[in-house]
Parts: sequence; C-alpha cells; structure tokens
Amino acid sequence: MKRKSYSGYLFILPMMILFAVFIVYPIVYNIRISFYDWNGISRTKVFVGLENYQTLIQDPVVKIILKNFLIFAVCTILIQAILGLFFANLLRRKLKFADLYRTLIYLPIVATPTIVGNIFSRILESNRGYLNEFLRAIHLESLCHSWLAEPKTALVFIIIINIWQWTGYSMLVYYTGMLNISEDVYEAAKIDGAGAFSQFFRITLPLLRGTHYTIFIMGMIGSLKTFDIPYVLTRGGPNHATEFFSTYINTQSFSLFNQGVSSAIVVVMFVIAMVITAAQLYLYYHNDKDKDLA
Amino acid sequence: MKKIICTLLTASLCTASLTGAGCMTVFAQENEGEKTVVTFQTWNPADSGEGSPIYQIIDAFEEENPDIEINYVYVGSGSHLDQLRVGLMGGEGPDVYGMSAGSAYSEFRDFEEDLTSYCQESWGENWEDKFLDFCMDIVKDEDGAVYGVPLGLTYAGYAWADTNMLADYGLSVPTSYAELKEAAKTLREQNQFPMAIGAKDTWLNLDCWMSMAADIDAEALYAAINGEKSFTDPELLESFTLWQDLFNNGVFQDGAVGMTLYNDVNDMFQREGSIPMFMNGSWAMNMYTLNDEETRSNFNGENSDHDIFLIDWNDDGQVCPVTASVDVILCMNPESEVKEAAFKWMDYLVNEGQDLLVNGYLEYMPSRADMELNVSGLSEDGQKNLEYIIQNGTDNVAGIRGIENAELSTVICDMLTALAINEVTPEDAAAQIQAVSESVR
Amino acid sequence: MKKMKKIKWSTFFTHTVCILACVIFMFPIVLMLKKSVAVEGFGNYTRVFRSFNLLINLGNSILITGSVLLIVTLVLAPAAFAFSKLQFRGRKICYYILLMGMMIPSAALVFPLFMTVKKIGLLGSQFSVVFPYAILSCCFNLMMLKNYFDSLSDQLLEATYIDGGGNFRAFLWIMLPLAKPGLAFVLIQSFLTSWNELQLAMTFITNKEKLPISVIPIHFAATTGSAQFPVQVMFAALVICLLPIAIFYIFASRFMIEGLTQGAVKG
Repeated sequence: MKRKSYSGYLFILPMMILFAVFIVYPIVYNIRISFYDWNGISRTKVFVGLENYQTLIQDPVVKIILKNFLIFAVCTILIQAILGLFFANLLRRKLKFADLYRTLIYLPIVATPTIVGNIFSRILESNRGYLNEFLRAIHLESLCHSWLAEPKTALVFIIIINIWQWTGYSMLVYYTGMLNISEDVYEAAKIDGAGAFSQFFRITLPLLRGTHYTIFIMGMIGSLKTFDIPYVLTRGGPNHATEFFSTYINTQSFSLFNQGVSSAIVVVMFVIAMVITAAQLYLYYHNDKDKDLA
Repeated sequence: MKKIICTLLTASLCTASLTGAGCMTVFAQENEGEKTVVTFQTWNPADSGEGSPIYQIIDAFEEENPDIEINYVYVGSGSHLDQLRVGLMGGEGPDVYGMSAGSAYSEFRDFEEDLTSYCQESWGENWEDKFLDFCMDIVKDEDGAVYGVPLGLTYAGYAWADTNMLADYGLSVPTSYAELKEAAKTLREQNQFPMAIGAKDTWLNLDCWMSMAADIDAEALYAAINGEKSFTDPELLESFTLWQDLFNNGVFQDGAVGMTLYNDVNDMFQREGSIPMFMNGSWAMNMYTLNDEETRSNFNGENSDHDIFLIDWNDDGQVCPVTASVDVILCMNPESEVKEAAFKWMDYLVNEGQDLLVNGYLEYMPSRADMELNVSGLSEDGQKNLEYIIQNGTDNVAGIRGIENAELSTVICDMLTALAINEVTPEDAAAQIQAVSESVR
Repeated sequence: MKKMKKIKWSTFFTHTVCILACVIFMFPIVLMLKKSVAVEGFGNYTRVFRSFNLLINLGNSILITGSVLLIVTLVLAPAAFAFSKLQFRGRKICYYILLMGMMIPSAALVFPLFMTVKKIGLLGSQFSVVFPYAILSCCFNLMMLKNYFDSLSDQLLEATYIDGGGNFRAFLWIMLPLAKPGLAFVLIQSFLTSWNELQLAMTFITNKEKLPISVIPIHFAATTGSAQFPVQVMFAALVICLLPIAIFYIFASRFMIEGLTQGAVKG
C-alpha cells in the first residue's frame, strides 16, 4: 500500500551525506588501528594482525566487563522501562502539577559527570555520607556499607545511579508515544467497562510496541557505551569491579598506551551492538509484516 | 512547526551575527603589528581566572619581548594528554606544551624536540648545573639527550596533620607506625577519621606505597622497579603486607578506596578542617597561599597549626624517605615554526616564571639549583613546614617518584587496590606484579 | 457521592507517589543547588562571573546548539519520515547503516573526526563541532523519530495522494505537524547533548573566545595536585551552565503538549 518511489532517496540523502563525511571514517579508522601495535602517538606503527584480539581474549578483565555489561543492561533496561512506563502513564492523565512532576523526574538527565561524581560520592561515602548517616539515624547501623569501596555494592550503585539519571528519559519516550494514542480508544474501552488496569494492559502496552523496541535497543547500546557514571564514581574499580567497555578503552589508551588494543575493544563493542540491533530490527520488521498482512 | 523553525532560525541568525562581530574585533586586534605567536598548552600552571599567576607571567614576558605573543591554552589535567595527542598528530599541535613526568614523557618522544642545543646556547656549557641533579635524571633519555625542561619539583610520601585538632583528642603528631596505630584507635573511638587517604586515586596509593617500601629498603624497591630484583623478595613482600595491614587494622578510614584525594579527602582537611590527618604530598603547601575564605581561615587563621610529617613505617627509628618528581616538563613541538621564540618563552617560564610560581604561590618546590627560596607572606607555621620539606629534600630522598613503565605502574596500582579490599594476598599480589615485570623487559 | 470519593483517593495516591518520586529524583540536584551557595552564598556565582566573560561563551553555545538543532530538524525529520512511510530499494539496509552511528563510543571518535574537520577547514571555528554534534544527534535519535512516524496512521498519507499531493506535501503539511511531540523530544535530547558536550569542543577549538560555556566548570574543578577553587564555586558554575537547558526544556515541552491536543483531533 505504501507507494514505491525514488523520492525516498531524496529524503534520506542529507543524512547519508553527513554520515559518509563524518561517521564512516572513524569506523574505518578504528578497525584499521585494531590490527596494529601502536602507542597512540608515535609516527610508526607495527602491523600485528589479530594479536590485539588475542590479547583481549586472554585478558581476564574482558570477562568481568562482559559480565558487568550483561548485569548492567538487564537491570537498567528493565527497571528504567518499568519506572518510565509507570510515571508516563500516571502523568498522562489530567492531573494537577503533572507538568511539574514530569520536569522534575526528567531533570537528573542534565546532571553532567562532574555533578554525578561530586554529589554521589558525598551521599555514598562510608563515614559521613548521607546514606550511612541516614541508616545510623534510623538505627540500622548493620546495613551501613562502604558503598563505593566494596566491589558488589559499587556495581549496584552504578546501576542505581544510572536508573536515577535515565528514568526520566524512558518516561519521556513513553510519554511522547502515549500522546499519539487517541483518547477515543480509551473512551471506547471505558464504555466497555475496562478499568484503569485493563486499559493499561490492553491498550497502552500493546500500542506502544514500537516504543518498547526503541527503549530496548537504546538501552542496550547505552549499556555498551556506558562511561561517565563508572568513570567518575569508581574509575572502573575497585579492582575492575565496575569496569565497562568504555572505561577500559580509556585505560588501554591513556594509562597503558595500547591504542591497538583499545581500538580492538571498540570493534568488539561495535560488533556486539550491530548483532543486537540486527536481531531486534529483524523481530520488529518480522512482526510488522504479519501486521500488514493481517 | 513553522514556529519552531522560525524561532530557531532567528535565534541562530542573531547569535551568528553577534559572534561574527565578536570575531572581527578579535582579528582586528591580532593584526596590529607582526607578532610571533607562540601557542602554549598545559594543565599546569592552571588558569584560575583573571590575575592567575600564569597571566602575570605572560604579561611580564610580553612586555619584555614585545614581538612575541603567548597564546596560552589551558586544558584540565583529565583531558590534556588526549587533546595534546590529537593536536600533535593532526599537525595542529601547540608550540610549547606541558608534559607530566613518567610514561607519557617517553611515549610522546616523537613529538618532543631535542632541546640539548637550545639549552647549551642559552645557558652555557654547564647549563645542567642550573637544575637539581635528579630533575636532570628525569628529563634525560638513555643517551643523555634532553627533550624537556623541568618546571617545579614535587615530593611525595608525606602526611599532613592539624595539630590543634589532634590535641583536642589528646594526641600529638604520630611519628611511627606504632604511634599511628594508637592514634587511629583513639580517633576511631571518638568517631573521627583516623589517617585519611583518597585511595580511589591510584597514583596516591603508588606514592604512599613507594615511600613505605623505600622505608623498608629503598635499594630493593628501585632494583625491583628496574627489573634487577623480584617483587616477591621478602623486602618487597613486607611492603605489600604493611600496605594491606594499614587498611585492615583501621589506620586508614573505612571505605578509603571509594574516596578521591581531590576533592573528597582534601576538602575535609583543607576547607572544612573536619579531619585531623591525611596523606598528601609537598604540593599541598599551596594551602597556605590559596585565597578562598575557608582555606584562609583554616590555614592562616589565628593559632592555626598544621604539620607536614613523615612516618617511620617499619618502626626502625628512622622516618620514611620521600620520592621526588618534576611537576611539569616543558616540551617543544618539533613541527613548530617559531622554535626560537618558543624556547625564549620556555626559558622565561622556568626562570622568572618559576620564581613567581614558587615564591609567590608555592605551587611547587624549585627545580632549579640556583634559585633562591623566599616565599612572600608565608605564615610562621607555613615557613616551618616549608623548611621541613627542604630539609628532607636535601637529605632524605629515596629516588624518583612514580614508575616509568606504564604496564608495571598499572599492575602495581591495581594490586594496591586489590590488597586494600582484601581481594588478594600479599604473596599473590607480588607474584602477579613480578609476572608483568618480567613480561615487559 | 461514592464515586467522587473514589476519585479523590486515587488522585491523592497519585500525588503522593509523584511527590515521593520527585523528592528522590531531586535530592541530588537540590544538594547541588545547596552546595552552590555554600560558605559565600551567591558570592560563589559572582566569583564565576568575575573570573570569566561568560557572555561570549554563552553566545557560542547558543550559536552552536542553535545550528545543531536547525540541522537536526532539516536532516533527521525527512530521513525518519522516509524510513517510516516510504518504500524504496535498500531502505532497511540504509536504515541499519545509519544506526551504526550511535554505536561508536565517543572516545573512538575524537582523532578521526579531528582529521575530517581539519580537511574541511573548519578547525578552530565554532562550526567545527556543529556538524559532528548534528550527525551524532541524528544517528542517536533516528530510531526514536522513525518509530514515532510509524505510530502515525498511513491513512492520512493516502488521503494526500488521492488529493493529488506528492511525498513532499504529505511530509511537510500532514506528517510533520503530527510528529511534533516526537520532534520536540528529539530536539530536547539534541539540545542537551550538544549543550553539555565538551570533549570535542575542547579538542577542536583552542581559542577561548570561541569555546562554548560547557567548558567553564572544568576551570573550577579541582585537578590533580591542586584545589584552586572551592567546590562550591564549581557548582555555581555548573548551575549557570545548566540553567539554559531547563529553560529550553520548558519551552520545548510546550510544543509537545500542543502536539497532544492536535493529535487528538486529527488522529
């Protein structure tokens, strides 16, 4: 039913040009460097084939990174999506101050890394941090921890802070999606006697199918690229407990001067991102076709 | 929709014309007279707004050399090297730049001009005597060529104490490990920080550990770093055990690896004045010259009394030695088209410039042997600490601060953190470090 | 009577949840605001203004971000529309290739982009960062906006065709006005990222007079071995930098709501 035409190319041309000029070269550049032994600055580099990839396979830190990525991705994507949906649905209705609430929940997204680093280290500090002070005040001393100094809790708080910062984003994505669902649909459901719950599960949730896909892919890619929060809060530590792809890229190129290995990590990240996205798009289009046919 | 686009268009057009006008005035200024422009990029001396010492130095230099203009580019330490690298490789690097001592200095070698002949020409045959011996050791390569001139000197391994606060707890400044343990216990009992350390900063851990290991056996430490001795030997093993103990017997505060020196721990000591002791180097002397209200009242207030001190970590009756390094190595870009003017500026900065930075602001200790130390307006308390640093600088230096090999330095830093959180035993840590040490030779 | 009471209870519940959430979400931000007036009160803010001529940097930021938003609107909206509503050969593969743009970590971009910008001859000017920001924003938001177009009904498009209109007319007069909320969202995100970005800005622009305002707070941040400024001054600088984002957000979310009422009528 959609018209086949050549004007489609015209619509995407500007973006294709910008992409070709600015994005293609960085991709090619990193792939090329990943085959070299290079400190990132010298005039000479040595071609080493797949050696950098071999180094990565043998590196125990890479296993930690993969594990952290999976834990981080699953936790943040799920919780952010659920919280985002919850608040979007709450604020969709005619409610006094809804605008204000929405703005305030969205606001953490403006927090730059400097803010996150300074503020949360004050909250989570072991001896005088607000969180432990609070726990002591309500006589729960036994729950006090050195939050950022212990490997397990450090990762948990990286996740919590990510949720704090990005829930507003999911909320706004869902909210924007909900703006598009006509009020008539809900009215019709109400007449049929559907309550708030069944309205949500039978109308809102299925109609936001595309949005769920977006949130998932964005979350996956965001998790792969996550850098600011672990970098400012724990520098990937203690002892690599909160190491992620991007923080390790940083360590490899700036502390160890292994630009080749660093680029190899970039390529690995890239491949993972492409596979995940391709799988998602396949599912999305696959279902789309069914819908079109039906 | 049209409204959005219109608003955006007008907004960007307005600003375009505004900034356009701004640009023109800038160009107009630049075109007056044919000046040689020397671009100088660094993270230190820092830009702290109008009247910063670096601007005073530049103004004085430009007055003396009306044909040269310094284009000073300040980049925070976090991104300085990254930006420098991009600029240099892209053929757009600065003429003169600051470089940190350690692995980066040698990794950037392709973009560092050999300065030996410049130094000889400007300062005479015996120019090396101008600088302290081991400053020269740091800037020279194996063949004796010099790729940078040292600006400022720094000593690491020190601790600082607020003597008044310690006295409030019935304590005096601890000098040995045994005393420190006792003091830490007393302080902890009264809900106060024991010795504070910003152990998230792995460079600080390295500083502290090096001076501990040097206290146990300095020769062994440097032999191991140079690959002539194993890290698993008893002298070094002892240092790893000691390091781990400091975290386990409560000498350092709980959750230490979750705190940075700047700002977490430093703020508590320097500004809040809420903790009695912390680990920090000689560069913290600038606490006496900083001008914000809190630091001033804390350090230059009535009766304020702070001590910089060294600890006898192995209880052998002798305090630990310090390690020393150059703060900023000034390098020249070999692709610079204004090398002569560039070196003129470097010359001025290490001489007249350093005078101001040291004697006016105590940013560093002097790297020059011929420099007179005469810090203006320093309180009696500050003077006392400065003398202590100078004293130790002359007779108690173990060797060079930091480890030049990046891989070795990184694995030691990693292991120090792992020891601090008990994820590894001293034996395992030593073995893992030794393995890397062998692989990089 | 009974029904009214029920409504009141649920409203009360909703407000409680929202207020609680806002308190939790805002706590760190409030902490920052509180810190920014610590010790010397608003003196911290005057100190920031005294240290730097912020007006120039603010102008640069507005110029850069304004241009980015303009390009994003002109480039992304038609592309997202085409990928969603038009059929052409290679549509899926083009879409997939463009999505690759959002997968590159920023650390891997700096040097290659530097070379590109240098070749184009933009290095050093405010515009050196405009195109990189714009294309990155486009890639990052393509999926979001395309999905938004997906959710708009195809019937409107067909109506245009029946009236004898082409794709351009359909896009400009039918689809774009309906996609307002999606576009507003994308612009908010683009504004945010290009306003706060500093890595590329600091590398591409060395002239202080041309730098955006986002680089100002790092001048106040304590660096290794030096704590020239108290933390509160840095926070004051951060608040000054972030304020325009809040203003833009409020401005842009108006468009979103406007879209809501329109969408309800037409959809």
